[in-house]
Amino acid sequence: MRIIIAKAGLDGHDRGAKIIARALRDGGHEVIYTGLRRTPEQIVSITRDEDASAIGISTLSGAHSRLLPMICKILMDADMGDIVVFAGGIIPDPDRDAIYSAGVRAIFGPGTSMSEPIRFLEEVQSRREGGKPTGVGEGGEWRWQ
Amino acid sequence: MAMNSSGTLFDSAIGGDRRALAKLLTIAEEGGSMDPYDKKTSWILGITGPPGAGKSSLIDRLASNWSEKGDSIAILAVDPSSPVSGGALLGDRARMVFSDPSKIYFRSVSSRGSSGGISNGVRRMVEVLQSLGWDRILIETVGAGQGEFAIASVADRVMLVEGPDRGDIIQAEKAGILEIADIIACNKSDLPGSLESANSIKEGLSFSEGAPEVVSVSALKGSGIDDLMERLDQITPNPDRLLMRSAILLDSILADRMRRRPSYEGAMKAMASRIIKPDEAADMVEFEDGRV
Repeated sequence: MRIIIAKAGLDGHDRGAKIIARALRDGGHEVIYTGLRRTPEQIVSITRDEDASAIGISTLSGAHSRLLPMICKILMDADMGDIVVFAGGIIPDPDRDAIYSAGVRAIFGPGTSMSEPIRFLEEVQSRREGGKPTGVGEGGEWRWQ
Repeated sequence: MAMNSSGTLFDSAIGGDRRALAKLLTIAEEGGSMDPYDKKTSWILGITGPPGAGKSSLIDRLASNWSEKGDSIAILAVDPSSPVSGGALLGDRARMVFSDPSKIYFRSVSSRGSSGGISNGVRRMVEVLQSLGWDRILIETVGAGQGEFAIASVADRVMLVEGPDRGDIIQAEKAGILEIADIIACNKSDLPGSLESANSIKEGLSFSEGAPEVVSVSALKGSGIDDLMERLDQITPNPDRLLMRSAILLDSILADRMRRRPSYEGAMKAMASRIIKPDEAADMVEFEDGRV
């Protein structure tokens, strides 16, 4: 799968993003790292230009409740509701429901094993092949637990 | 796939739909069937050089300057894939800080393990971009070996980017790589030692006829960029270099075809366990099915 790993907004900590990018590469995926401090609009146009099918957003700045739903909305407005969005970093439990409702399908917090995002993407692949709602704008209740 | 046929996508892409363009390029990359279209432009530059020489940063500068002049720029950045997993980490885009992503089309491409295989994919991608009328098409490859040159040779002009104080300038000289480029950009002219390094490249080339030009630039400071842009436009590919580049490209495509033959793996393993000699292994692959 072609996957964008993105850092959004004013957040300069990308060790986690780089580690996840490596792990996904080792899982056989083509991973495109955006570099630091991209705007939600830039992340969506990168995803479009690269013909990627998933975006993983790493957030450690505390702005997740604003940035993640914003990226989801821009994707849907751009008619890219089939793109799968997942997130990682520091996202406290009370904030998660709103992020899931915005269309994010998985949140990987600290302590996540490297194999988990890979298993998530395998599940994404098989759901897609089965025509089940998986993308950010496809609705349904499914989320990675 | 009916709604994603290349014809429909092409019509949308020509109307400025970037998602259609991206999907069209995926089809081209994977070798899917494409309707033939007229090529409208043909300014294609291949850029190669060792890791860390500053290729992506230099491309960022060039692309941003050209796009300010009103040219449309498309960049295909080829990175190697992992030989173990087949996956790839494509990070060249992270260097693009000056150029406006809404004006430039940037696409990361994984080499998928084979320079011969991907050079075909890149060529088809370039053809799509040409028929959509992109003014300048740039192909970036990492490294300074034959494989990288093969991919860059899809372009009609090739720039080698070098950094200062690199032992591999000597290596490149030994391999005859310097002569294959149309122009050599010696980057990081803001750093000490860069003038010496540019001079040593010039010296190394001074005995070869029709040697490529050597230009000092700094992608970081933006110096020498205007001069480089002018020289890039003035390149008239030297026939000898075109021959050398065609040979490298053809070799890599042939090697890729041989690797795909069913007998390849058996021949390689037999060779690894010293059951047969390398030339016997090559015969096994070349003359499988009794072909001569």
